[in-house]
Amino acid sequence: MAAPFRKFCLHMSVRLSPGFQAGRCTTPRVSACLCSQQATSPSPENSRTDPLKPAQPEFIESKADFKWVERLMPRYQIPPVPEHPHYPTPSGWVPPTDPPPDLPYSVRRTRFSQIPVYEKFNKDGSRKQTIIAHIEGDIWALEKELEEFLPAVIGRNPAMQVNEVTRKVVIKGLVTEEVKKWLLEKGF
Amino acid sequence: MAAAGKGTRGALNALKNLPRVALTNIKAMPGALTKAPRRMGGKKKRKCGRGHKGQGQRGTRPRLGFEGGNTPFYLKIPKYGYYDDHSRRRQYPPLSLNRLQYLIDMGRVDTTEPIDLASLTISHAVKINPKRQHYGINLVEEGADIFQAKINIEVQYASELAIATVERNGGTISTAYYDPMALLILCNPIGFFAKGIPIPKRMLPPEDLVEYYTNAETRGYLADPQEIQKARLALAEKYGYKLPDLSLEEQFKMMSIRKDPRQILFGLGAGWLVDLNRKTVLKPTDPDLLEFYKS
Amino acid sequence: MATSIAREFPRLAFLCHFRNVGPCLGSSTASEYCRTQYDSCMQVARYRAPPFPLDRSRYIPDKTDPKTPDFQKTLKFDRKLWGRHGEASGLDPSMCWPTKAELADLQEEERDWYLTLQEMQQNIAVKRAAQAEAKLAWEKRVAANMAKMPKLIEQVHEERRQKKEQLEEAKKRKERLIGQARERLGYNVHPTSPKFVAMVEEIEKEERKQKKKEKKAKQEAMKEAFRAAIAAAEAAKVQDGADINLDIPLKPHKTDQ
Repeated sequence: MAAPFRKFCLHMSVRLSPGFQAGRCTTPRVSACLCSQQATSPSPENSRTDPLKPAQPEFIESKADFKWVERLMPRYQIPPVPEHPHYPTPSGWVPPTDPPPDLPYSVRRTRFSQIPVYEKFNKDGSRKQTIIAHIEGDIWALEKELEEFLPAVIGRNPAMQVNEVTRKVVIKGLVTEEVKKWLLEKGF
Repeated sequence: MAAAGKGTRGALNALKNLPRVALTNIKAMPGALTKAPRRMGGKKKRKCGRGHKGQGQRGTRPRLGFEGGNTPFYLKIPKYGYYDDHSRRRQYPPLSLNRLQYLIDMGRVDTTEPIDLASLTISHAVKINPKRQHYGINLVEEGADIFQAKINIEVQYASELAIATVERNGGTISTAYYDPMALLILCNPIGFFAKGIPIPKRMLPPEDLVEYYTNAETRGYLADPQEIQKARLALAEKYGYKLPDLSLEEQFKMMSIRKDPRQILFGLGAGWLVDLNRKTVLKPTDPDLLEFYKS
Repeated sequence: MATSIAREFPRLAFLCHFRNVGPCLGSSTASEYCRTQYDSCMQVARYRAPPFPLDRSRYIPDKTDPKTPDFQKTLKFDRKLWGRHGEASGLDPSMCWPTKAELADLQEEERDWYLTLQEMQQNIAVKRAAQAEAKLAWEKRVAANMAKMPKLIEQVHEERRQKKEQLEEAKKRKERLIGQARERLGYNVHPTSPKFVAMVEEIEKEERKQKKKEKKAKQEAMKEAFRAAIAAAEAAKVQDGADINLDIPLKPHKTDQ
């Protein structure tokens, strides 16, 4: 892969430094008149004057082709989710119910319109936690419902932490998929 | 926390809305936790934490991996051939059909236009780093059972089932090679235009990849189109699906768009210069330049 | 023009010479699905990236100033200035393309370093042909060796059979000797005992003697036969008057014992 990169460097840096310039000029390919011109004209603008090159800029402008450039503008915003004929979509995405479910709490979707349930491990992986984020309203009501739901999934009473400040519920163990499904069924 | 009202009333209202006081949200009174400044050498006076005598104190410990006279582990184990050149091999980060379907469902990839590496990178669908020997993406077949989109996609490597899945849905797929310079442009086209360099032409694949990219079975971009049509039919027969007739569909024009083998970006030819300020594209007319940049 | 780029893509504002980029209000990156009825207090504070720290718009270096760093006087820098600021840089875009001499260099480079597709395909064809040839030769060699295979297998079986027979014979002989020893001595003898060894030697001696005797007898019989034959021939000669060959040896050829 050395060759294309070398070519690129050449393309970029042709005639950048005077030393490099001189080196190129010693090759027999470059005409002698070019070398003499450079020797007499130290100014960088003049160094590019080329007897073989026409004086006028040799290009045409095209406004129409700029649409291809506009397509290449990087996106810094998450686009809105398009309307789908039926849900779930092929990849399994379902929108939240409209109107939202009549509950004292609500779980907001993430920026990417996903359900905010995450897994967390400590460094050696011995502590596994499931975190529900973006909880709004009465967080204790959610905890109460989780206490009723989770024993059937994990087979024991769940160990949970409720953080009112950061609005998160932390569950001991990995129950991400089950909790996501449960929240989806509730309509979040 | 919008406080309703001003002054004491506002503060009390804010207090009503604030979460209850707990160990997790209180902090110490100012100045409660400040320590008395330590005297110079106050803690580590005698040995300065370096122990008693020897290499530990003098900092003359042997180098890492030295086993005190034994042949070290890293020299004892022989080298194996299959690790040769591992740092210089071409890497193709995977993009699964599952993930592609998710991106399409979320509106992050536009299926009404041909999808290439540039459209995937500008929508942050894949991350390609040519400086880490990434040579493009590998379309893997995971999620072939749920994939339903109809796309015209150009990737750098694709498995047979991935090709079959895309074509079964009425889409088209091609595999194309980009040299590292072209990949740098594809990953950040606008940054490249801001350098004021004309778009270079795409290099041909290296000799060991020529066979892959001239093969119709892998839908190589240098393969004969008629051969590709034959290979499409053969693949449909192999996997037992009916190949949709593209020429009857309204999207036929979009589906049949292909880049020139020397072209890097859709719609933009080699040798063109982009003026981002005036929103124009400058094309050289000099015959020598045209000769150089042509495919 | 530049203004709209800056407004649409605030992170690209540094590419434009327009300074006053409007602030990005609200949580524009949030999707519509992440708002709920309890959202009132959550949407207020959002992180907003600070403006691009180094706004180099409109910086055109003075090339006559000795304080200007050298890299800002290069062609690469000029091209970059034009790429960022366009017309405002006051530079001619035609300098972005290579000159004729540079183009000749580039073309030479391409000729020297890059193969055309046809050349590469030819190389591959040659390589594949060599591989095919090597494979064919290998297959030929394998076929020739496989043709020899049944014969070799038969040979091995034969050798094994012979070896087995020899072993069985030796075993039988040993059993016979042990039986003889029991007959002579009247009790079971261990094959390693000196008595047994002595007996075996004796038997072998006898066997050798016997063999010699038998051989001698055989030779005598043969001599007798010869003599009888010659006598018969002479009798016939006397009768017929024919000539007979008297050079025939009367003794049979000695064979190695």
